Amino acid sequence: MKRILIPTDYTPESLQLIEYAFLNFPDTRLDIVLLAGCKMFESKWRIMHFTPQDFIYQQMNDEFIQEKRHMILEHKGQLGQIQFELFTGSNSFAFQNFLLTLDADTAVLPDDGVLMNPDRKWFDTTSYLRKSVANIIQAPVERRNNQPARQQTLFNSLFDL
Amino acid sequence: MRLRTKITAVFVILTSFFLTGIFILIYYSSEQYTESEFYLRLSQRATIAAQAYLEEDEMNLDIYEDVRIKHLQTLPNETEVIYPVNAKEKKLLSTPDSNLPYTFFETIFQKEYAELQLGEYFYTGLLYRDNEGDFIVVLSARDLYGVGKLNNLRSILISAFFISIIFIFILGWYYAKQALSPIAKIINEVNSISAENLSLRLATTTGKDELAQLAITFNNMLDRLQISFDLQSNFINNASHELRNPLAAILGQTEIALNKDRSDQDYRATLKSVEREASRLDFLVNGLLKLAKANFDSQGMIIGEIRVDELVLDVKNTLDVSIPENNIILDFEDLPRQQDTISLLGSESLISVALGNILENACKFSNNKEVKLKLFSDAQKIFLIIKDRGVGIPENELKKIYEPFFRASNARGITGFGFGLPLAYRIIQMHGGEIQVFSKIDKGTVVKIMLPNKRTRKAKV
Repeated sequence: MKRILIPTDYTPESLQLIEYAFLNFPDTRLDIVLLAGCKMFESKWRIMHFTPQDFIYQQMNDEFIQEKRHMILEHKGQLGQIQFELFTGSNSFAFQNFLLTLDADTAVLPDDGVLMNPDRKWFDTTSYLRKSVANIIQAPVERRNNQPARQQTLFNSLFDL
Repeated sequence: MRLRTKITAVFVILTSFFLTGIFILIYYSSEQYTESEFYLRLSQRATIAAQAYLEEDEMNLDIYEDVRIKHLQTLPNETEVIYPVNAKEKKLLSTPDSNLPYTFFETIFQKEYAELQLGEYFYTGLLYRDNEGDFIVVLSARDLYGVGKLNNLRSILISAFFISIIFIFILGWYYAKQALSPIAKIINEVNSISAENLSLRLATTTGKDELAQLAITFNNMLDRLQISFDLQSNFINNASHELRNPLAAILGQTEIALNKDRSDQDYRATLKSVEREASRLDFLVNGLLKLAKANFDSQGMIIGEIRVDELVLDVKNTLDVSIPENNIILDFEDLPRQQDTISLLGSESLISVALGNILENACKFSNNKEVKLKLFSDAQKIFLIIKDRGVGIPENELKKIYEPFFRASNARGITGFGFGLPLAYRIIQMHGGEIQVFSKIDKGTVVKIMLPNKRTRKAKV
């Protein structure tokens, strides 16, 4: 059994990296850890009421859940579990400590830069993984649409011609 | 008229209408307030005057006049007139001012109070009952202060209106220029793109506004155009190259054979070789015809209901004959029970060709190592996953695999023409499906085919 770390922006396309994990380890049973970052809230009230599960479920849309189901069916015999993890730290030292809890030494990363999610609190963990994980496998991610743009504030977007 | 001028004009006209409405409302409200305030002052003065004049037995008239001048102040052109009346019969007992209409007095008899404006003069009249009889006290004055205030307000509003319009015009002109500048930029950029520099693209912003969408749409269109151009030019280059090789071989061999008299055995060998090259040529031309048919003749295909599991078994049987050493393993473990979710509407022969090509490639490029085909479905789609452990495709060449005659750089030594996968791709597209290829050099390739099932296809039709 091998654990593979894969960054995700909760789009169906980001799950293509799972395919490359199985391509690289065809005879090994794999546990997939889908990893995303979340900037911590500033107010105490929000921090006290924050649960990673809620944040993760909020990010997933129907397409993503369906694609995940397909992945489970496709790799039924070889896939142990798909686990979601949320990194809420803000530097690479915190990330290294976070990695210790995950017990994984291999990551599959998108080769064409970074992932993108419109949520302001979400951040991409690709660069952290690239720095901190021993075995890196790069793989192409084919996007169907253009990457979603981060939302601008309404007032700023009015004058952004 | 230029769009910029039009936008500015509409902006200025609409804003000026709005401002005019607002300013008229402000002026009208102020005028109403000033009038009502002046009438209130007049009515108060009329009451005081009535009390002072008619109760003179209780108060000295000189003292009232003194108080009035010193403390109450007089209103401009203030006049007080007291008319003795018979309130019961509603009759005036003296001759009224000829300027005042009789309706004014009628209103006083009815409501005991009336207001009237004649020119610049404001009149209030009130009915006063006294122990000496009934009287109507009429007080009139000019509201010079109110008129002055209103004139001042009118001047301020008119000035504010014109200043606002000038500002709005300047802002509108500038903003219209800013708003239209990306269009002008797009026009310039599009004009600079021609067949010679089709790789140029419009600069896009990250916004989601219509102009960003327009630029993205243009870029997508240019992508498609460039792909078509590239495909066309590559196709002609590759097709002529592939067709020329067997033809050159045939010509070369016949030329050598005809150079001098040869034995029957030699002629036979040459003819065999010619036959082999001609067969290759025939295969190539047939392949090209199929590709052309798949490109342009989707309407003519025979549509029927296909059970994908049965079709897969048929293709496997065919491949067992053509490639007896194949090592294809079928995995139907996750097949659904409902027949509709594993059936699709389409051309059985074309789907067989597509699937056959992909499986044949998997066997060929993995040197007949294990090839797994997994079939499963959900409520909308049927999934066919074909995995091999072959040579794989270099990552930078993955985008070109659907181009006819394209052959991966690590697959040149393996026989083939490079139109098996492009043909399969077009067939899958014709059936409303998708195909995805994941590959890693020396690890293998995964081909994922997603086809809409019978129910989804019917719903779409």
